Amino acid sequence: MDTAAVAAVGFVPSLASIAPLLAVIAPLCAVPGIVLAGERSQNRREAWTFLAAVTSFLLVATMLPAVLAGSRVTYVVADVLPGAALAFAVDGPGLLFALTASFLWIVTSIYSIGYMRGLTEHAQTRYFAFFAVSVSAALGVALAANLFTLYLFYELLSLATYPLVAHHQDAAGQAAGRRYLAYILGGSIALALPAMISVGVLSGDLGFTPGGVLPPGLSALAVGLILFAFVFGFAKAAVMPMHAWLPAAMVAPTPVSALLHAVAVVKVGVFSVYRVVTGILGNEHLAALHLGDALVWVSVFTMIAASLVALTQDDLKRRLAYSTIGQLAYVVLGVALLTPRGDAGALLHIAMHACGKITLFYCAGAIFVAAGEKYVSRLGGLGRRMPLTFAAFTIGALSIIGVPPTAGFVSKWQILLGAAETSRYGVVAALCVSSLLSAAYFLPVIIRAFFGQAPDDAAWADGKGKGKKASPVREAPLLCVAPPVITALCVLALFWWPDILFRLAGAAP
Amino acid sequence: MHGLLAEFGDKFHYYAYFAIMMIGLYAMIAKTNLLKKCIGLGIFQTAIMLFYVSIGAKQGATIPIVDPALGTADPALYANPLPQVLMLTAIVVSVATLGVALALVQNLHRDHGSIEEDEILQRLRGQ
Amino acid sequence: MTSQLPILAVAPLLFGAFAVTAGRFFYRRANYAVAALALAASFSASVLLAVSVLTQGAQVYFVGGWPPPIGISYVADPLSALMLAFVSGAALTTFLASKTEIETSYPLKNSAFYALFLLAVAGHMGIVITGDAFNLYVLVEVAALSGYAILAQGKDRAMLSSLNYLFVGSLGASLYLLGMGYLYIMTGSLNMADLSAIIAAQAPGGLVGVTALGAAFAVILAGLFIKMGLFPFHSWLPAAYSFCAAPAAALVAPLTTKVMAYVLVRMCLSVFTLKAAWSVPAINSLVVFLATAAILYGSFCALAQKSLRRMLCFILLAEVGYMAGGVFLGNRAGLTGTIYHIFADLLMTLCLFLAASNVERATGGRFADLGGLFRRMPVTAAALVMGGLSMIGVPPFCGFFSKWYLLSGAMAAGSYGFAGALVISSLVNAVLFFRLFEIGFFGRPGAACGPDEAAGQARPGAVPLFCDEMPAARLAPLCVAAASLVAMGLLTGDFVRLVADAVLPPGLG
Repeated sequence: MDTAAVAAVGFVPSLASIAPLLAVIAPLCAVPGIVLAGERSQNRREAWTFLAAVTSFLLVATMLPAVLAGSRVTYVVADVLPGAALAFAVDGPGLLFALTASFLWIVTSIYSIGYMRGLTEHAQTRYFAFFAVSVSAALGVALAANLFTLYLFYELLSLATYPLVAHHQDAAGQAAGRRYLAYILGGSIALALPAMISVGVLSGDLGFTPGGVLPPGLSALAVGLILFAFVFGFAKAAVMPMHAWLPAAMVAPTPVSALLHAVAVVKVGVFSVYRVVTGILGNEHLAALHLGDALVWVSVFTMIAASLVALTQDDLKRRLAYSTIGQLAYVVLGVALLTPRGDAGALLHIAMHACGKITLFYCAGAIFVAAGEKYVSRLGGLGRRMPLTFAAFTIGALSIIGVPPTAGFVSKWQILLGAAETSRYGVVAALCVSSLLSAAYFLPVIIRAFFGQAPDDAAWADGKGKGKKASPVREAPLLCVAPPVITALCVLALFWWPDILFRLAGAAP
Repeated sequence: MHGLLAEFGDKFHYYAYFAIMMIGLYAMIAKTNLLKKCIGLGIFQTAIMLFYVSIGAKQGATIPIVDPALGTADPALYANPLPQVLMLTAIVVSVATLGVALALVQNLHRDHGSIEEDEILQRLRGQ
Repeated sequence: MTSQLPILAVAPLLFGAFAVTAGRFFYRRANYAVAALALAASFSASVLLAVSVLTQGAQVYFVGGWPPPIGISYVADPLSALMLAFVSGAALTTFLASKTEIETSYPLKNSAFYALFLLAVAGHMGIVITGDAFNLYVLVEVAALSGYAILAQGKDRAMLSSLNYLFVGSLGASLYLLGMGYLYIMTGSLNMADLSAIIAAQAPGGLVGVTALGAAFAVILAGLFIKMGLFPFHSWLPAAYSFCAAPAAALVAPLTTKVMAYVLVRMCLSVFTLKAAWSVPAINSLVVFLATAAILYGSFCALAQKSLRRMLCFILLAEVGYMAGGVFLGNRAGLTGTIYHIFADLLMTLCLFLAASNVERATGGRFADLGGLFRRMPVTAAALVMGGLSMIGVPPFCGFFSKWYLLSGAMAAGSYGFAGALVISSLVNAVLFFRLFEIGFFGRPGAACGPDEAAGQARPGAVPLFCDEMPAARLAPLCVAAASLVAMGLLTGDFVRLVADAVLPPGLG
């Protein structure tokens, strides 16, 4: 939704339709099918997942014409609280996030099948069932009409992802699960809930309204407390210091890390921050109280610190996790600029980063399935054995660094322009430093993979046949390689054809 | 001093009921013998009953049963029957409570051989 | 017939109790059916009454045809009618779920248990619907005496704990009687509607000027707090509810404290009108302070418990704090929160205690024995999860909405201590329940429940699914109770509109 046009027109036409509810419910409807198919008929179970993924994507896509034409698709489920019904309202930003999540779920379903079967993981039925519930909850957040609905689906997402994080049911899983819940549930109950209720008490209305819903005349301290309670309370946004759950959650199976912790869970966090800043507190209100600066510096700190830590991580998934924390700070930074271009850049980054990061996680999982390796220092020479995987990895890494012709460049450029427009040259410098740091922690991996030497006991070491595997390492199974290739192509495609996303994000091209 | 004595004299019965109530409360709390606790409960409830009945008392009035000699024209000749009736109900409740309490005490005695609370607790902790 | 519904909601239970007692000499085997029939008849009458009252307005029934203020009147307004339906529904659900449990826990004394069960429910129903203050005392004692007898059977300590409960409970009821005495002296009436008119006339500026009425209020409050189990008068509750047999706990725990909280609301709303009830600031702040202490005490003591039932008993103490505090916050949101929480907590306690009784039957109830519970008893564990999430305050379960209203009320009234205690209680509940879920998800089953010896297995996944689960007849009422948590949550708006707004005075802020 073009915010300038909204300001000019003053109202947005609403279109009542059950499509948002159906899109959120579709994955849930697949859960009985998944559970009943169970371990006995695995193919039927996977078919249910795939069917649900495609159906929800199509349902989300049906709302595209209406939203592009300028209206909001609304649906009220239950009038539970005064000023905060359980309701959906689909506008540009919500649809952008929903499209990203539902499309990438389709690709991840294919990948999950390959990964889980390749490693003969246990409890696959439980995995697929909770995966479907998680996607449903993520779509619920995307399409939420007000803060209460957003909070409801946010909490459901936290709970539905816990069995996925703790999937392996070992000591590491238990510790990771505890940390996950402590940060995420603790943050939302201790910080976000009181903040939401304060907003309810002060304004009586929790719907997302351009310009915010708070009454005028509140002190900067009060609004600042509410703002930071939301930013830290929505711990899925991984703003430091509420970030420590993300590296710990990497003990989950890689498809979980890929979709949820690169796309759904973390993007739900930053999307919630976006909604709170633009729809509840209001850009102009915050700018008048000079609160944008505080948020800018918090996100810049997160961005740089996370990139520095990523340099020190040898575990590939943990390195990707810290990279994600840094990239999420970009979105928060874009939102903190409090301008239309900053908001548009932030929303675009949600989609662009999702495609890039998911490619990287897919590759990390493919590497683990094919070669059994998790550590960066042991990946030498593997690129020659797994060229497709590492080609996709390269494209994903370039997107994160922000190099044209990848999608990551598009969104970073918008945020950079937004910062320059508001004369925040320190932020521009920080963005450049962050890109350099990303290059520093990704390029060595790629170079070592393609041009380096294998570690001595690796199965693919040239001239040696010993190692864990009897046969030399080849490319990962098809179902593990096709998804990263697909998403890498998306990364490239979004650079050349970003129009629809631009329109949804409300950016001037 | 004279005023204080007059005050005490006028409201003597209220102070008495309060004292009885506190005696009952003391017995319930401080005694370890379960039967003595039951008696304390009874004393406590009795004090409240006395208080209620005293509400209905009127100077120079007789019991609230119609006396053919006095007739029914003037209610001031009879004590207020309602509080007395309410207390009949309360007495019934008190008796029922006592019955349940005694049944419980009897069962405790059968199981533990004692009706001293501290002995029973010792036995339970020992198990 | 509609005019007779108020008495028809209570009478079948009394006749049923008599029939069951006679029946132990004639048709012993049919006693369960007779008792169930009585409960079902009472439930149907109360549902019909609730529907009639919600659509057509309040109803009054004169017992024996005597009009007030001479006779006893039964008043069915939206609050009491719905409460009747909930109380009888909860009792029916517990009764249907506990058939085998009763036969195991009370061998040879089934009939006595059924009769006492029916009397206890009759007492609670009468408390809810009566419109006469002295009749309230009698019915409180009827319910309490049946409760003392029911709670006396169980483990070793049950008898002594029940006797202790008897002493404390009788003390509380006697204090209520004393307070009633002061009211009678001042007003000469026992009928609640009459009392409210006379008190409003005698104390137009509040209770501070009229000492006897103020003393009456204080003494009645003290009596009710003892019967409710509000800190510091709570010591009887954990002991009485933890050592008794499971069906007794499942009956009494959802009912007694909530019905006493209902009486508190009724006293403040209908006898002493809100203006008078809130007119003594010392009482308001003292009660909110005690409620805060109750919440914190209950939550932190629950952390120290090692068995499921005792943990639930301490959580119950915290929930009592919610209800007592909400009444004396002094605003509409707080009182709405209390009214809603009475119903919500009734459902949550019902669900949790029924699930706990299943768990105890299968494993013994100590945390150390609950390993692998999610595989062994999936349905019961799911109900436990739903009850737990509702206690934590996750939307759309009903527990969230009561926290919403209570927190809004606390913030609007400036009682930040109470608000903080509510948030802390949610966090502690999260820790409590997730500790439980962790054991169920990760732990190894203590005793083997199949041909495989469970000790030494690498993962709990080796235990056969459903191996400890209860039969379907015992699970169906539990599932209904769990589903009602979500239903109540989604119907919050309707509930508040039809019940709370109907009984609260319109101009209340």
